[in-house]
Amino acid sequence: MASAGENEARKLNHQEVVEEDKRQKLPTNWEAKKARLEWELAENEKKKECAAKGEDYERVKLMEISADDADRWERKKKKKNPDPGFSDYAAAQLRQYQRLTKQIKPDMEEYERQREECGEDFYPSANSLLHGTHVPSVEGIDRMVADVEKQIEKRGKYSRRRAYNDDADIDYINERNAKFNKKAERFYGKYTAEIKQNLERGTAV
Amino acid sequence: MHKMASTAAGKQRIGKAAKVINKAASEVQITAEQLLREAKHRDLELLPPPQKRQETQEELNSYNRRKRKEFEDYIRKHRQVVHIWIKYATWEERLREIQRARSIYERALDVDHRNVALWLKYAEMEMKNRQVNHARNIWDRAITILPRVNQFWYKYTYMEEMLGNVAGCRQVFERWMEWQPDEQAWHSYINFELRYKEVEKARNIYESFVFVHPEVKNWIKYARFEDKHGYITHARKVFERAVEFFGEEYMDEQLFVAFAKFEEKQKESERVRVVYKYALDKIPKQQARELFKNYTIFEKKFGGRWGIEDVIISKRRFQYEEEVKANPHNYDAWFDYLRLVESDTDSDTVREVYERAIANVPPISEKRHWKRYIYLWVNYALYEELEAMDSTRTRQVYRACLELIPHKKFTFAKLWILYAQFEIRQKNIQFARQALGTSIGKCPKNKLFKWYIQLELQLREFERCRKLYVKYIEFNPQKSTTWMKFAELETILGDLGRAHAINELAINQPRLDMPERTLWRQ
Repeated sequence: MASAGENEARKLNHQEVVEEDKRQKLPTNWEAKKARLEWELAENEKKKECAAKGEDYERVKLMEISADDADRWERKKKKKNPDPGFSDYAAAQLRQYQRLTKQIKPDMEEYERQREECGEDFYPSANSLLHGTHVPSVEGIDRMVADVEKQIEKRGKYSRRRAYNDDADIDYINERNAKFNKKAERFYGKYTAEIKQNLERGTAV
Repeated sequence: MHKMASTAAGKQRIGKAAKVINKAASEVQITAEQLLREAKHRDLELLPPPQKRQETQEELNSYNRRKRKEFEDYIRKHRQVVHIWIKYATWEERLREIQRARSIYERALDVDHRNVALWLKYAEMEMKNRQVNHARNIWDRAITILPRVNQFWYKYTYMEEMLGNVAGCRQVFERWMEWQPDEQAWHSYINFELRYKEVEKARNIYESFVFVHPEVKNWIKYARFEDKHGYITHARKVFERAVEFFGEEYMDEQLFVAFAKFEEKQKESERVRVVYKYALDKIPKQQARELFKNYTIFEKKFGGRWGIEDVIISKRRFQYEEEVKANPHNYDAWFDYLRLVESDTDSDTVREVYERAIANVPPISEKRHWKRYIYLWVNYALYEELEAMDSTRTRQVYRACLELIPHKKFTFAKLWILYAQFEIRQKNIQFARQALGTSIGKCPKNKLFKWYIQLELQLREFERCRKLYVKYIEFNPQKSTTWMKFAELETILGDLGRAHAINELAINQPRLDMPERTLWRQ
């Protein structure tokens, strides 16, 4: 009977529609997330196996990496230049200098032209009379100014604004005091934690 | 009266309600945190003053004047606080009052000319406002007054490079290098030259650099620089100069490792070997581990079998040297060492090692301590006989050994026998007999006797045999086997009469071990 067949078709279609709807509603990275979760599960499994067998998981993993893969990763890691934290201003300036000089793209034509012009003077010694005779071009000055402004802009981004925590305890009387207390906590907090607890409790343990 | 009235009035003013009756602390105390919290809650902190806009030039001027007065007051109160000066100067700069800003900076420098931040901010202000020559002046002053502050030099050269004044930049670098700064500064100069592909200039800089900072790694860097730019002969010369420069006293394995690696890259295996051998000869073994490792790797890659063996043997030798130094009575180590040495080097070295080995006499005169030690002697003697084919030395060795052993306390029959055997091999029966005779005299032992008798039997010297047997019986009349053997001998010689006599004597011995088994059978 045609209607039975039609019904059948309609039912199947409806099911399809429902499924597709569900799929659309999923978050966009559902597939990626699932894959990552599964991968993590597999890793944990392998770790447990290795622990049971008494092997070192790291070594087993290393043995499975091919040589050129390892090479590529090494190169990538070498390029990264992680911030080692503040040591002193001279080191920080050196780091900035190295970053800036890496970004310089020298204008070789300009350079050659200057070399022709200056002749012998192009390679001055420490006390040659070249000092003070150079008149910079407008583009040169523009370049320098732009660079200085970029540096200032980058400097501004070094400290970020921290969120204000409403229900944090108030142990200050004004804003300067608040900052000072935060600084003290940063440096002495981990050593005076017990003392603080005792004081707050009122008695020592 | 007057006084009393005033005090009475004073007392009255307190009033009854305010008088504290119960001076004990109440149970509920207010805490400091609570106070603070309440204070914050009630918001007693002063708000910043409302922002005022200046409508006319007049208002602006008066505002500025006021602000300046504030700043000046602050500075007068806190002259040494540098950030106030900087705030003042940056404020003026914002108003585009560059001349005023300059004067503020100059006054600040009068207060504290050693402050790095002041100089930096001052120069930055001039640079930002396109005042190039002003900036140059400031940088010049800064590097003259504070030449060891690297930031000034870095920023000065960077500014000149940005302006396109490469020659000026070079001059500043030269001035800096006159101060012989740290290694990083030299590297930044070299990198600057390389940015403009000036390899010749870079080379000159490297030349002065390695003399200012004469460390091995700087020489290596120089050579690697030459290598990178393809100047192989130069690189080689650099390495050779470095080797010369450091001479014999300051040799460092890193230099040689780098040199060898470089030559390896140039596929010059012969030179590599020369380098390694030279280095290994000169450098004491403790510091040469890296060298060894790399040498082995190199030989594994390129060398023939003997090369590899050579290296490995030297390595082992070194190991053994360490071991025996640590524990000179560890005879096992000595044995291994000797085996190694025997298999490959010349006889002098072998002898030397042997001498050293046997010099380590065991401290206690007890046989078990000596048991292992004696084998050293044996090996030595055998070596001399078989490998070195030197019979005089062998004899010397044997004699020395026999003298060394304290025969009163114990002895090694083995050694006597070996010596005798050796003499026989040398066809010196006389010596052999002598030796055995001495041995019997010094320290008679069953083994000795047996062996001697055996020898004489083989030589068919029956008279001597008889004499020996007599001696043996004198020494140890309890051993029935001796009696038996003696009797047997006589029987074999066909002298039955003597045999009987011997047997009779034997039976009549007061003490005898295993008499039943033996004599009664006869």
